[in-house]
Amino acid sequence: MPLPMITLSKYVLAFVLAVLVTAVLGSVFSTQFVLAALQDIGVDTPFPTRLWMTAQDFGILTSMAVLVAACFLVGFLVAGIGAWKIGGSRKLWFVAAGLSAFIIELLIIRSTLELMPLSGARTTAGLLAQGIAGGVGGWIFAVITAGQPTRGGDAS
Amino acid sequence: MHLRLVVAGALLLCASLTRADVRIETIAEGLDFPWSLAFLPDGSMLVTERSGQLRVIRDGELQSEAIGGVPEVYVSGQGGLFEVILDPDFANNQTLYLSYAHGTKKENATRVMRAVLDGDSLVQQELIYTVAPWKDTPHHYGGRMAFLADGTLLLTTGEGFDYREDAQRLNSQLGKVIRINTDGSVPDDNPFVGENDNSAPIWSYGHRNPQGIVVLPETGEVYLHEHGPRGGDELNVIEPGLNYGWPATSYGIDYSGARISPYTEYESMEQPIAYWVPSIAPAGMTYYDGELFPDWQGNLFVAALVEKSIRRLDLENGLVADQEVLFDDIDERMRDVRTGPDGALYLLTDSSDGKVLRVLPE
Repeated sequence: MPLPMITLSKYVLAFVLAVLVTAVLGSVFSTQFVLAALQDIGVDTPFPTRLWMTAQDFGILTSMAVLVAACFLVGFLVAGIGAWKIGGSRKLWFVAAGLSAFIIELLIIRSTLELMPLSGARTTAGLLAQGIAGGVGGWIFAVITAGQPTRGGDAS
Repeated sequence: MHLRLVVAGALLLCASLTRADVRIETIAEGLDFPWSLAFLPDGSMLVTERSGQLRVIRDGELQSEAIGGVPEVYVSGQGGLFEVILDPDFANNQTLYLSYAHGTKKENATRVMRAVLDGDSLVQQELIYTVAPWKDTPHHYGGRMAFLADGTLLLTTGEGFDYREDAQRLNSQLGKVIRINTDGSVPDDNPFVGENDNSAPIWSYGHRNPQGIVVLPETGEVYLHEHGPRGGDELNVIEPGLNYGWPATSYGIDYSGARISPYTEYESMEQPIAYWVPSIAPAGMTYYDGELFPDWQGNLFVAALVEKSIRRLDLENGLVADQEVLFDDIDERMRDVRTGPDGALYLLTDSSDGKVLRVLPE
């Protein structure tokens, strides 16, 4: 049965919001890790400078959004099927999907190009921070699309 | 307005006259990503191919057999066989030096081997230097070499791309200019001798991926260029012990579009004497002191991969007074540029059908 238009709109809105929030958080996290690495080699990074560079780095949002959207498409599809077929908390499924999809995508690019495309994700902590950004995106998607049934599980 | 037009016209005239006054001959073709060129006293030439062969051009012909005895090379990404440079006393000792990537995907580094050229083989091969620490990326090896007047050898090293902060660390030899004796030992007067285990060979630091270095014959000044990220390629005058900024300062941004650093200048870090935004991707350099082009004497020539050109840099008082884009009509990525003993300019094009080109007066 086709999805009602209102449900489809909700899914699209949820997906777009999830992608945007993850791209913004990912960019902010990446900038902080780049600055931390500079600080580690003795470069001063006072708060106004941090703020300025964080804002400057929003220039990467378009390419970040493309990256995030690509991995969320796959990750959320898997999470949706998993929640429906296996059950359990939908939120947990989508948080896990967002987190792991973005990390896996970055690792695949790292492995293919043999370099990390996002400088702030070169360390394990930086990569995990990107995962957290992805997880938040997954959570937003799950919250906005809440009410979809899972097998014997939490539909919220 | 009128004055502007006159100046623009004069500049165009100069540029077209310069280009029209030369002819370009193909000396060799079919080379697999040629990287470096050396002129032997008997008039033949050695050419490195990044895929690991050392080739000979003799009597104007590329010899089908490669030189034997070349070290095993790690060919991946930007890695492979890099520079061939002759010992200053080559005529007597037939000694040469090769820089190359060595190792595996997980552990690789730039190395230097010394060997004696005996006919068409290298003999008495001796590994004299390996950059420390190992890295696990196949990018940014540096690999250019030059001799100082005191007979010590300079080697450029890249920061391995993902290890850019190492360029600022004196316990890492990534992103540095290294100075060693020809047996690989470290000169006592290097600026960081005794600081830690890895610091002794370091001569200058804060470099990204330097792929052009020349020592000016008259003054001994060392000019070096290095690849920037997206924009920010630099030309620097190198002095021992100084910090050239990467990645604390850069005029470029990351490939993602993010900033490398909030700073283009920082205290106690040197500024480039020229930089290029957008990137031209400088990959080789020569100082022209030949006889065939008197107007070009005292100029630097920079091979540019992305711009597909040779940049002529007019130096005045040690600074770049003017620049000219040459040979972009050839439409080839340029890997290296050399001044031949005949006074001609030699170019290496960067492709699987790489060429050695000779630039002569018309």
